[in-house]
Amino acid sequence: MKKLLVLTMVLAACATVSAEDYTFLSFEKSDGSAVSLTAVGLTMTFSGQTVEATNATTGESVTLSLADLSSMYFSSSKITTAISTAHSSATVTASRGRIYVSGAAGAHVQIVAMSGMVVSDTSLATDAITAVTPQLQNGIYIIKVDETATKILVKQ
Amino acid sequence: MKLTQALATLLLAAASTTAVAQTLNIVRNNVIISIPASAQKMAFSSSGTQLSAAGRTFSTDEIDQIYIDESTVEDNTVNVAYEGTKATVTVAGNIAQYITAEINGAHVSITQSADVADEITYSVSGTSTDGELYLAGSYKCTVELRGLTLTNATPVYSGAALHIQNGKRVALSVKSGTTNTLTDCASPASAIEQKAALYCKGHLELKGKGTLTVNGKYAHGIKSAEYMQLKNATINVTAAVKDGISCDEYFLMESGALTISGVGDDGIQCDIDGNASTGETTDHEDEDSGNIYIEGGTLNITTTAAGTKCIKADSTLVVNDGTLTLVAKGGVDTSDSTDPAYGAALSGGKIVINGGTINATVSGAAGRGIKAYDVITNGGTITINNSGGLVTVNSDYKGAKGIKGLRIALNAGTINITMTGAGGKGIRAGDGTQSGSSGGGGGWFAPGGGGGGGWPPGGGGGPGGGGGGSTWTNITGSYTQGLSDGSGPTLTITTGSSYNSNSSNKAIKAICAATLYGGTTEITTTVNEAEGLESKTSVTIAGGKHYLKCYDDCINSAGKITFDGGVTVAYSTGNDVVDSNAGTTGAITIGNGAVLAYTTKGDPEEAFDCDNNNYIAITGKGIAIGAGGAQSSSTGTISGAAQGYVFAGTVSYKANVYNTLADASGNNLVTYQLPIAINSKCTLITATGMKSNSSYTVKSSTTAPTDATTAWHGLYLGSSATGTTSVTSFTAK
Repeated sequence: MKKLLVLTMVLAACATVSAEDYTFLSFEKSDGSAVSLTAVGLTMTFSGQTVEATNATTGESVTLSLADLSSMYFSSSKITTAISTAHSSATVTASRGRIYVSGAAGAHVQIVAMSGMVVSDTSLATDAITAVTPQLQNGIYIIKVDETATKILVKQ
Repeated sequence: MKLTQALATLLLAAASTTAVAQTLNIVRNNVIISIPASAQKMAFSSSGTQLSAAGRTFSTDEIDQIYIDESTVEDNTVNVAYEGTKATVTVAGNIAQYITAEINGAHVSITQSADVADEITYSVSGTSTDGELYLAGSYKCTVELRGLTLTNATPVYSGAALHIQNGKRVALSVKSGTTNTLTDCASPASAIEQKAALYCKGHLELKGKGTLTVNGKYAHGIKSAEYMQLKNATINVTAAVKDGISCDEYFLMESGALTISGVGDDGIQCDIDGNASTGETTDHEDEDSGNIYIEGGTLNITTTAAGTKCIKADSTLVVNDGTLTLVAKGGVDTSDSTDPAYGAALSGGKIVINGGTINATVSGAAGRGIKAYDVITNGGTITINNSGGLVTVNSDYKGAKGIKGLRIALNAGTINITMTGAGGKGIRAGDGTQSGSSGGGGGWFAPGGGGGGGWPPGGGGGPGGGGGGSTWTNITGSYTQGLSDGSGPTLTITTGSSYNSNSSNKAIKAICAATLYGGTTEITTTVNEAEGLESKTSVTIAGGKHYLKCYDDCINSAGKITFDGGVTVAYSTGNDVVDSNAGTTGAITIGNGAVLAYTTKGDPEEAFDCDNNNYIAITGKGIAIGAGGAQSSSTGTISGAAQGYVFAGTVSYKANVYNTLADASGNNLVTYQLPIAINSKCTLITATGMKSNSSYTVKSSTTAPTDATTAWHGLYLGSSATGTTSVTSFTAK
């Protein structure tokens, strides 16, 4: 019985230690905003003043200005405040099957499905909320606003 | 039990399903810093040109890549993986700030800072035909070999395949189930430091249950600048230009297997690092002794070069256990004419053998099985087969030796020595200043006799002598067998049939006094001048059982020969049996021992030869039975004899019958058997209980005594046996 107790405690401890899971790597900008990408499979390369982070497994990709970054860290959940942008005011939202962008006047916006198909490729002339896609199927989409990319879940 | 298993299975399953590790890897020039997900934030500088992570700051333009995978980072580890012409170094994030790694092709240099707080483990694997690993640091570390084959063809940091420039304790673990090979550069540039294929500046502790093969192409195979220990691992040094293993302070082999061959110098050599020895210390703490300790394991060592030793200790070599198979093929190195070096299996200032099994095969000219100033055996089994021949060194003839020491104490153990080369000595003890001819053949020096004349005085030599016409002064050293309690070694010595008149074979040659306290001795010699036990000082047999069958003298001394205990049977086929040249009263002394001495050579070779029977002394209640020829018909008188005796006239002994010496009442004093018929003359007979003017008989029987308390090569003590056929009778003096 004593052996059983000791074994239980040891295994429980092991299970506890191993249980911590960091699914995302989050980039925090100097303005406080952040963007999270799926951690495992993520590759980052530095080029000039930018870092490009790509997860070939999930299809996520983001290019960030190094000058804007303050830190990066692992997190167990996606940082919901994270809307990365080349425009400090750009905001991406999804509602009822469509993706909207605001605060991105003059930006080039590209929407890519997880299959790799470009579903939208446009430039915005205004900071107003603009639907940049037609009605989309449910799923995760990559949104690139100029050099900054993030992903968003679209639901009907 | 079922409940336990079920619970364990569930918990393990739970653990495995939740055990997802994320590791961020920063790559720069094949050096990877692996940072676990649990690490703190990694900060970018305000300009974004620098990234601070794991206690280090990286220039972002120098980072080749960052990737995240599911690998697990073990703290305090560095992995080095070789793959052909490249190598990858992976550093655990928690020690990244203490590690500086540089890679040039597959040549890797890693330095750990002095600020390291915990021991770092370097795990090394892979293969490269042109690579190396140079580790520097000043804090203890562990290096694990996990299947590494590394040849340093074009050195960058060091000529060694593995160079550990760390003066602290370095544990080198050869991991179980792995095979590893290290080969250094054969011809490094002059600026390259290269002392061995495997070099360690600090304390090298070899362990693990894997196999490591070392090819030393330039200097030593393995060199540790401080102490070295070996446990469990299988180490093969297949080549070395110098020593197979060279270390300072001390060498300790606890277990494992060590094979050394193809070396240009010694198999294992250990030197004192400083100026003076600390001697052995408790738990070897801070020890700088130059000692070698063999506690166990298996050693197979072969050396071939002149003057080299299989195992050489600057100070003391201790064998407590293990199996040592040593092959010493090297002859004499006379490159330093003032200090010629002889090949040997074991060499040290002092050699102590307490246990284990030592098999030494020596074939180099004048080679030594064991050589030290002090040789002590307290146990173990030692077998020495020495076929080394005679060689001229500085105009002097040098023969091979089984054991050579200034002071030799064979306290216990089983020792078998076989010498087959000309001029070989099974054991050679003591030293002194020699003058006169060392050639031998002309007879044995007798004080006052001028030396060189042989026997009989003025008679021009004959087969006697054998020691050369030299004298010894300033004699030092000692030779003892056994302990005062009568215990002792089992010693067997055989010298061969090769003969050279310039140096005679000897089973035991002691310049110093030789004292036999106990144990068992069996000596066989077969050629002219080959004596059994020779001392330039004196011989005392105080205990034990000894059998000497020799072509020449069985026991010979320039000094006195004393039988004061034990049982000795000596049989010469070509000379005297017991021959003292002391030339004074007590030259041959019968104390309390028992001695049966006989020679088949005939006149003038005697059983007890001290040039004058009047020099024989009887001081105790021992037994002395002689049979053989005589120098003259003069019987002699022993002054002050402690018991009765006789110099028997002609006595015809038959072969292989049992001769019983009995008093007038028929009481058995001793029974003795000779393996060959001898017509004896004027030979000493004395036995316990003999009284002067009493009558005694010797009668023979073909029935062997069955109740003897001691039976030793034809000598039966404590028996009640009686003879039936008269051999001789006499009245004791």
